[in-house]
Amino acid sequence: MQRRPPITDGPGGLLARADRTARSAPRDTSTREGLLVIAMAGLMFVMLAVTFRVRWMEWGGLIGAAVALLFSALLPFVAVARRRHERAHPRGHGRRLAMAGVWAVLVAGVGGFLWRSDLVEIAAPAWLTTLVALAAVIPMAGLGLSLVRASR
Amino acid sequence: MTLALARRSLDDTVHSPVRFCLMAALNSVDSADYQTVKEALDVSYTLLSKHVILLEQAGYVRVRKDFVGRTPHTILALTRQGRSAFRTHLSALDEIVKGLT
Repeated sequence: MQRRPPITDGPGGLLARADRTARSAPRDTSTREGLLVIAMAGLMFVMLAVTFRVRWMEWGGLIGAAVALLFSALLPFVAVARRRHERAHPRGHGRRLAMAGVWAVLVAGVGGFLWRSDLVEIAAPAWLTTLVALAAVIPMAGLGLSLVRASR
Repeated sequence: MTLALARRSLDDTVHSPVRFCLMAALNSVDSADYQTVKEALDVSYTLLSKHVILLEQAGYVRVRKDFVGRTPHTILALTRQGRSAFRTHLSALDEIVKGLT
């Protein structure tokens, strides 16, 4: 019998192509989960924005501690609620969520080093520190938004 | 790949209609909850559970159980081995539908 080349990751047959197409069309995601991911991003934004400004605030130490405490208290609740409302996750969602988390930690680390630690003293306007805090959470907020949009 | 080789490549664990649909559904996502899969496949809890257990025992599906109050919230996801088995099965089917051509 005539031998045919095996189907690989190339163009492939009808089913292999259908399999690849299916991965690009997420649906059945949860609106609530998306909103909770956005809420997590919002909490992180507030925490970072305040933390970066603490040095120049009156009662900065107290305000910083209060915001950090509030963040630590609320985040586990939001994270648990997100898990409870989990439905379908599009392909690559876990990897994107992890990368958004790593990005937030990296930006928070750089911002913290510049404006929170005593190692360097670089004054920055409020708009700049707020912008950096926003940059830290944008990927996570975008991920939440994509879940909300895919659910509709 | 010959037709005979393609036939032998078919995976019995994947080939049942419910398991094939279940794996197709899970292959298109990272993970999905039990209810969503059940509605998509239009099968009973019992039937879906039976097939999920078989796929879990074969190492094709990972099951995570949480509780919302007293209600279980089950998340299903294909393992790497499961995705590979599903792709191999699809490739074999692709070969088979070509017939003798």
